Amino acid sequence: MDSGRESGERVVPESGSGLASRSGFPYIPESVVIELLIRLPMKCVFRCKCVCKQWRSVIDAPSFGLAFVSRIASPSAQPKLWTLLYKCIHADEIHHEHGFFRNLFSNDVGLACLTKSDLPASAQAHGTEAYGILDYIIAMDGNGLLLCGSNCGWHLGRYYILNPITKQYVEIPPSKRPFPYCCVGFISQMVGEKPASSSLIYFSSETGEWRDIDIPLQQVLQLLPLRKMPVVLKEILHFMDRELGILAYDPYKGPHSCRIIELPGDIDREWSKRVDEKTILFDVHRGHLRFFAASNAYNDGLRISMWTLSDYDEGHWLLEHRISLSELACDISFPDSPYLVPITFHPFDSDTVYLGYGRSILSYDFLSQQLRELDNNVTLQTDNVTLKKDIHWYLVYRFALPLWPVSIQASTIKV
Amino acid sequence: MIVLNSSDGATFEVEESVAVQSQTIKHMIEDNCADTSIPLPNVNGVTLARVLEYIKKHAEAKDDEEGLKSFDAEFVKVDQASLFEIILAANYLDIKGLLDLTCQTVADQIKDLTVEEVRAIFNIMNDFTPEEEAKLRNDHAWAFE
Repeated sequence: MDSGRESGERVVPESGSGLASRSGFPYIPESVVIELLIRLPMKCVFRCKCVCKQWRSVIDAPSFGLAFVSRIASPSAQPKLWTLLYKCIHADEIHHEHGFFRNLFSNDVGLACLTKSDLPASAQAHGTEAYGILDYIIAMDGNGLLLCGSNCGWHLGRYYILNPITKQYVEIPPSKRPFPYCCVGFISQMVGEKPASSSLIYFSSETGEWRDIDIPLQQVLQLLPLRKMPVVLKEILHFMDRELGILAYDPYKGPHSCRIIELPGDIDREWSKRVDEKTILFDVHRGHLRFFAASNAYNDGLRISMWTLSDYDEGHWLLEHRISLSELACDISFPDSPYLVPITFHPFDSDTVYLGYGRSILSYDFLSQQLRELDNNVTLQTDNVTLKKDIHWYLVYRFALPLWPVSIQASTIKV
Repeated sequence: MIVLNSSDGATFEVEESVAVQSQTIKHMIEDNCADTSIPLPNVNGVTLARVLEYIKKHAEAKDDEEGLKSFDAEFVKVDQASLFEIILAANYLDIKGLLDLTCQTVADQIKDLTVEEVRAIFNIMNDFTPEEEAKLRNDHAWAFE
């Protein structure tokens, strides 16, 4: 290996062949450049794209992102990063919802908060002064992409896919049909599923188009906009209907695949037969649907219950846990609010659920039966203004922080 | 005992059980290319001596985690050019622990540098036009915050 070059001599790198050398400084092959880059913090790697064209193409290669993640995400690595994003209302702007989303658990990956000013100027220009593309987060997929909506126009919502770390966004072309009431979400190939009464309209990023499907059901559906998204299990969408229970629809099998899964028979339904959207949560955990309800059982005080759908095909629920809050020893006093609002399950710990109560966020651990209040004294210094923290329970989203930002494939989408 | 020949003609003797920490050497021995000595044309004498120092220490003090940690910390306290020579040798000789240690050291050294400073260290010529570079920085503004 020729490590002794003449002093002062410089060599311009040929493409793909490594780096230039100077006197006494060795020639570095690309494989070693990769070994160095995958050990840098994520943001630093992206800055290094500006070093030279060769480094940019190394980092852009799909294999690089994979190598980067697999080096960190070994079994012994720290628990995966995740957080709750919640919408804040700026204390000074009572009339306009100057909404932005705040990260509940701080972390190093760097998503401190998501505000309209984080977005590129072209995105901020969308919508009116009061509303923008970040009015509400509708759903989040496994790659860390958010489906956001803007309230531009009462019926004709505009939807965007946003990567909150890189701030890349893609606008989904508006559908030709307006819909007054909808539930939206992601499934792997398709984006933006909207049922309106008994028809489904969906947008596929494969074809770049909207399509209609009619669901042949005898009953009229009254779907609940539970955080505006359906729950996806095995690529089947699950919506919650007020009276019927869970509506399962497989978009790949078509309209005839609709099926109703009745809710557990032993739910407390205090006032009527209908399910109250504020008090329930359903989600997927380890391949099974889980249903959680916080209820005021016949004025006996608040109690929480959790079921797992142990037999998906037969629709059998297993009551895993049920306890009255009065039985729990905890420091929290329960004043007048009758509602305990379930927010989300912990993504990786099967025994923890997060609940909203009044102005606090609580965590409940099923195993230890511990109810704890999370410290969420949030003061956000933006221009030296302290924000009044006002959490709307419908606007809290569990967000998994990706280790490597995904770039949105948008070649088929024409706005 | 295995005999290793560096690029500049220096000779080193090392026990086979130690030398096989290098996958490259291990395969050469297995393929019977190592009758008299193993030529290593990609590694000079100074660097090879340092590499052998590392693998000897890691062989003899295998279970002493604390001792190895402090050895490693001292081991990488060398000038940058030498550090790169060791990286290249560890890469060629396929010694995973040494490659990991030295690459992480360099990564830690450059992680807070500006783009210009990184170019200076690696002596890389900026082959972007000013417009291309400005666009890149703009597209990745989030990384520069």
